[in-house]
Amino acid sequence: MLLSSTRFLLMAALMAVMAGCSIAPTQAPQPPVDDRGASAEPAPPPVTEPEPSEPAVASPLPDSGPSAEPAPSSPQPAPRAESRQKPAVLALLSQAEQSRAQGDYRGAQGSLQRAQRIDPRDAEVYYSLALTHMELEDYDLAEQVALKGVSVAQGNNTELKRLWNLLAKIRLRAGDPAGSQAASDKAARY
Amino acid sequence: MARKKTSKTTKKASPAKRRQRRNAPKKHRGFISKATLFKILFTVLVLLGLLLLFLDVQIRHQFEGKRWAVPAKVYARPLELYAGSPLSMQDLKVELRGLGYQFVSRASKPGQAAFSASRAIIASRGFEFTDGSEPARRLVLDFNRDGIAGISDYQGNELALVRLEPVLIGGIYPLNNEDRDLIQLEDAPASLVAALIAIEDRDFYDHLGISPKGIARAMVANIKAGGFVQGGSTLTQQLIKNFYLTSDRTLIRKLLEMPMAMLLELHYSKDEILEAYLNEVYLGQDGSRAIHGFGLGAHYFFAQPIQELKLHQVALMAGMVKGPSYYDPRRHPERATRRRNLVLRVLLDQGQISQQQYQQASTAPLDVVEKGTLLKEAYPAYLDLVKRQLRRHYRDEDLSSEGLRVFTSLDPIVQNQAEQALTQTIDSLEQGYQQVEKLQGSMVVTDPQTGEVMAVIGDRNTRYKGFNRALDALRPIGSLVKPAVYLAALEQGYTLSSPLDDSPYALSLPNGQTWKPQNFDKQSHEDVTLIEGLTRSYNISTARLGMDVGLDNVIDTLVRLGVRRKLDPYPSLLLGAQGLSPLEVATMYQTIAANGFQMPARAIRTVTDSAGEALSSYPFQLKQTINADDVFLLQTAMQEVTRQGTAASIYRSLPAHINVAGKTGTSDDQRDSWFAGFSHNRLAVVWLGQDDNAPLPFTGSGGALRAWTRFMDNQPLQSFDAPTPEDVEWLWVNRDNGKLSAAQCDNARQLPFVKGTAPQQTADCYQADEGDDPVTRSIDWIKDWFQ
Repeated sequence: MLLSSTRFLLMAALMAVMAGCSIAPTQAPQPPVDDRGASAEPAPPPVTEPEPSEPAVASPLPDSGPSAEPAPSSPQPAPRAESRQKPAVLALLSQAEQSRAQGDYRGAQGSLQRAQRIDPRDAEVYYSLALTHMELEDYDLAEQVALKGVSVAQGNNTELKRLWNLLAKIRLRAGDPAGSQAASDKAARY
Repeated sequence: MARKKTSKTTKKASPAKRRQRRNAPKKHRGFISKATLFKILFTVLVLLGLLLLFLDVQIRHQFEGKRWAVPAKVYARPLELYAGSPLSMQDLKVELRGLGYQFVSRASKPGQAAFSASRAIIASRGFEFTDGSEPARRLVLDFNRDGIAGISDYQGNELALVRLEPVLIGGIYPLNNEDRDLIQLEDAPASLVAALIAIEDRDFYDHLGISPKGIARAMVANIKAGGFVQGGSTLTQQLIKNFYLTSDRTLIRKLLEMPMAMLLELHYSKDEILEAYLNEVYLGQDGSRAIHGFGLGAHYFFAQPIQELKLHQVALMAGMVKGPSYYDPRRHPERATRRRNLVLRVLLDQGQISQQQYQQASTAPLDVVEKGTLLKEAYPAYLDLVKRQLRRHYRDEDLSSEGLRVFTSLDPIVQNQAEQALTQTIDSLEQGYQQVEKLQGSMVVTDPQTGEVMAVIGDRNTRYKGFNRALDALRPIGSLVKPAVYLAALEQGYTLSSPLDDSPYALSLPNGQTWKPQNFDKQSHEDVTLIEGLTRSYNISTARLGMDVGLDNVIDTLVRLGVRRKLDPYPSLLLGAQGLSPLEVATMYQTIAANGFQMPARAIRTVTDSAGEALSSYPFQLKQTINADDVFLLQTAMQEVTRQGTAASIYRSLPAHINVAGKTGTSDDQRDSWFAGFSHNRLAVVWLGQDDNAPLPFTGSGGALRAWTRFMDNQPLQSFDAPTPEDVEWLWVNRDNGKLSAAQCDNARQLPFVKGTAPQQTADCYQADEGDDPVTRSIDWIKDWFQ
């Protein structure tokens, strides 16, 4: 038991080292990361994450910070951006949830747009904003916002599943059962 | 009715008539009897009474109704402070300076800030936002290399997010161009009221609207001085004069002033009259804009809210009332200082201030801020965009009179940096190229993820309120159009490695002319792949590609990218003969930066009424109009432009790990120099050219790109790392011929392909091998290690 968890940690550390110095395409299988609950409560501080700059084992690749990195001569597949949420965004997400619970959808919209400005790569923001527009019965916009969420969530299967499930719901409410089924099917793939 | 009245009068008048006749020989004709006199007097009194009644109605009507047309206030975005924000201490200082904060060693009162090596303490003022209020409080901000490391209140409680109050950037004024910030009496420092009363009307609290004592005092003073040195008008009279009457010095006006002043006093309390006076008073002129009221005066002269003014500042403003242009502290600082010190002297003589206060205030500098540092009216091009967007929903008279509050997305820090980058580049280009004399430029900066416009520059003189090139100058966009041509090709099934034909090309046009596009180097090139055609901006390849894809398809793509203008299907469209404004270009490139989601360029976030109730908000809107896979391929090619292509000079300044994408543009005969490009969090479009359309001695990369790079280099850039869509795979291909290759082969590079569109032809050394993916190999290696 102890051995296997040590192994797992070492393996995780190695993966992180490689991701840090990434030359690799994103097609590599990635464990889905979901560091927050669906309730949008502030996430607990991340537990013992291996530091890319302090490898547990000797790295086969030169260890260098991003600034010392030589310029890639051509665009390359980008490593997936870290999905750690900013406390400010978490605060706004929970504020939006409160507003929504009170039926104050405009208020929720305002908080979420603030969150989006702070971190436009956070798929959860788009999820919550799409939900808000759905409640406001603006299904076209809800759909587009959710699709934008899908576009920033690439590689994050948990988030993609939630977004496609939401799209299924939006389309159903908008009177598009076929589209809804297609979205459900897509969600089932993650 | 009239006749009846006449006969009645006749009857009643008969005894008098008799007397008149009797006395006639003695007094001759023209004699006016006592009765007549009485009647005349009576009539005059009645008329006067009616006049008073009329005046009374007037006074009350105007005083109780909406007293002033209050211009709409336009605000910049509020600065969001949170741990992890890439805000530097320097940028924070810029923002605070714009808000009129005083930099002190210990920040204790609202509007003060104290900076040390890596910490800032801000005593914020608080603000009522539509979605909640931000309290005034003391904030402790800790900085590290990347920006804000932590933020807490003074008691040490960590704060997730704080908004500073937004900078006021402009107003929308009524026809008379009167600008004012309404204040309440309690907003005004007590010393201001004291100084005003001491210098203008010391019996204010005792008189009934007019002050015989004051008049007598003024007469004595005038006689002594042998000329007009002092007026006897009370504050009430001055208010009447400015508020109700015209400024002409007529006798009628003078005669009306006194009774009206008394009527005003009859109906309203001294405090109400004083409050109106504080808001009505004229204090100066800023171009066509008239500065009214002490509330606005505080901002106009000291860039501070009135509550925060100190004794020497309020004394100056109170002194200026007598002659705002004569005592203008910016134009006549010595005269203004003498006047201020006179006010202070009077306050001292009346025992209102101590000797020490007098000493301190009368030796203090004027502390008037330079006009050029005021942010109100500093961004005319942006304000122009705001007004145009407002006029779609609001009437002019409502905008200029209802005191609406308009919250925009203008970022003063970004705007200032854009202005510096553009003007410095223009200056250095003019120095470098003697033949360009009147180089002009414009620039638009947006947040490509939200579609919000952060900065607009319409003229190299950034405060110039005239022609707004960012919105109104339609100049041929040159190669900026090429991404649309290549995108249309990708949508039609081309791939990034598709071979293009760059051999000489001539097209006969229906009008009998021949269109013969040429490359910039006047050469034809071999082995051109699609990505290279865009990267090197080859005109011939592009023209051939565009004609093959079809002009209608290219136009359709341009429309889906967000170009609203009617586009004519001429072949020259493919090389950018079409004129667009920088804002239109920004809208078009935004769709590319936002993974195919088209968003309107938004300058306004919310409009509220004067009480802060939201009237309309402009939410984040978007619509996917370009397939995510196709736009990903285009983004990759546009990153190649900045890494290897015509814009590679970017990386002489920008750090290598920041990905940016963009395109240079140069119109025919080099009349226009363009660059449009983006990182994840900034999109900027720069145009340089001359208003008379004269050719430039430099191209898009030699001109506009320099300004773009200079600007971006100062931004907290986030790398443009678009995640690879599911239906896209990265494959190794031969750099020259685009054939499928492998990592270990010579001249191989990785390119993204929509799944199922991999090149059919293979390069010589290519071998189908599942295990050539380095990640798969690495994982296998790790697996081996553990087993």
